[in-house]
Amino acid sequence: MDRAFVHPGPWENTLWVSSEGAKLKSDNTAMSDTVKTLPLGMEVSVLRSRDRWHYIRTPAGEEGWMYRGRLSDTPPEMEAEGQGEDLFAGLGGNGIGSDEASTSRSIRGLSKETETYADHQNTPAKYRQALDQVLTMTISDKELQKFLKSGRIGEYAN
Amino acid sequence: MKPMNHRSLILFLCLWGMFTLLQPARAETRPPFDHGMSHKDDLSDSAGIRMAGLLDKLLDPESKERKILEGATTVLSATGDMDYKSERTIGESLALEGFRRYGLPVENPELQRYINLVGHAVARNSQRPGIPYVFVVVDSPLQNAFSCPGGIIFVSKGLIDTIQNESQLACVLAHEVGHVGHKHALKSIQRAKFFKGVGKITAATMEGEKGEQFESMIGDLQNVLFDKGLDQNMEFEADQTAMETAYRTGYDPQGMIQVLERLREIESKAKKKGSWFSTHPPLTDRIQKCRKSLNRYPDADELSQGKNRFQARVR
Repeated sequence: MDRAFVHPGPWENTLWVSSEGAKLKSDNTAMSDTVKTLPLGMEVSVLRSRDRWHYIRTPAGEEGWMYRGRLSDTPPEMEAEGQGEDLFAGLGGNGIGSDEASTSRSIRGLSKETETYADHQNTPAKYRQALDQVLTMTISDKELQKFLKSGRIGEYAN
Repeated sequence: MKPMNHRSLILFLCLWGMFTLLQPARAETRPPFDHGMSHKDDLSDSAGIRMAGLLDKLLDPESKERKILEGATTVLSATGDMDYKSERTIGESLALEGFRRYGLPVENPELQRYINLVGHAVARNSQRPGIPYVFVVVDSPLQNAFSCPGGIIFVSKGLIDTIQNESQLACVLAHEVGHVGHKHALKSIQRAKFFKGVGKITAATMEGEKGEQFESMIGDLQNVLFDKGLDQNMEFEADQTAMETAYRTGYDPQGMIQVLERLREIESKAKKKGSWFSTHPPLTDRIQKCRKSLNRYPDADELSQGKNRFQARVR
């Protein structure tokens, strides 16, 4: 079953951060100051809601506004610790890093195992090069925010 | 033969323990309200003896019990337990076949960047936001999109030409991201021979007999994703997930319905083999199910459709 949105009432005020790069804002607009970027999976309390924004409190006591799409009523799927090792360019550990790194996460070309598969299959070089090139595509958080803002999408709608 | 891992042993012992404890109750005729102590003691002794016998059997590589356990661990290792690197290797291998089947990436860096921007916008709000995704438009006139395990998403130029706005594109990409999140492709090959005795994919498992089994498994995956299609329920699930993800991002989730309706309009004239028409459930069923879930998104009409930007960047 998919995670669903909730409009919390007094009996239901716990949600989870379920998006990469979820920003806690000082006001209920995307243009307000960012208090902090909250990590994926953090459990937060919803104190009140206005329009498409929730005013939340973190376990450490920090408070601020978050766009509703960054929160859900069940915890997100987390990748197991260490699984991303050697895979995520520029990141350490499990690859779940800072907000700056999160959207620029990328893979460094074909793996050794895929190369072996391609050798066995006599895969033409043009397909290997194509995949290699596709895998190096990165989108920075800054570029993505600019894109969402120019399209007036999500928290940038108003 | 591969030694059993600790988790598998615990799982099997738990299941066997439950089975063993239930056995006397089924086998013996007991008065309905007889809960006397002496009878319980009999059960404990009986269970203990069975457990000891089971351990002996599990240590015997040729025993029926050992083979049952190995079958169970095959399923576990092939789906939820698979490490990301192994999943990605399957995805990359399949992606190479994707290019072979559907053509090379369209040589339009602006279009490829645009698709990746929309793709990343939805992926970061998907049910599995913590892995890297890449999106590629391939030069095929067929209307098709598919996802390789690990997050490599293909969309054909033919499908892009059918789409009319950014919210429709977001829904198509979110549908494919949903398949990755639900690990649908992996579930379709969970009983592959390759996984027998293999916990993770390494250089060693790509050689010899295992290597051949891996290649055969990729062949099976091609058959599923390029020709036969995934299980219908997986497609319905990906549609629902796509609407949810698009909505969370700020796109109108009705884009999913619109793109399916558009495909239905052109269905009679479109080439079916290897396209969304042949690999996905009937469009009318999908549209109906998506419509039913619209009440979850009361302000859908107010969300972005992005028609102008889509037209400017794609056409």
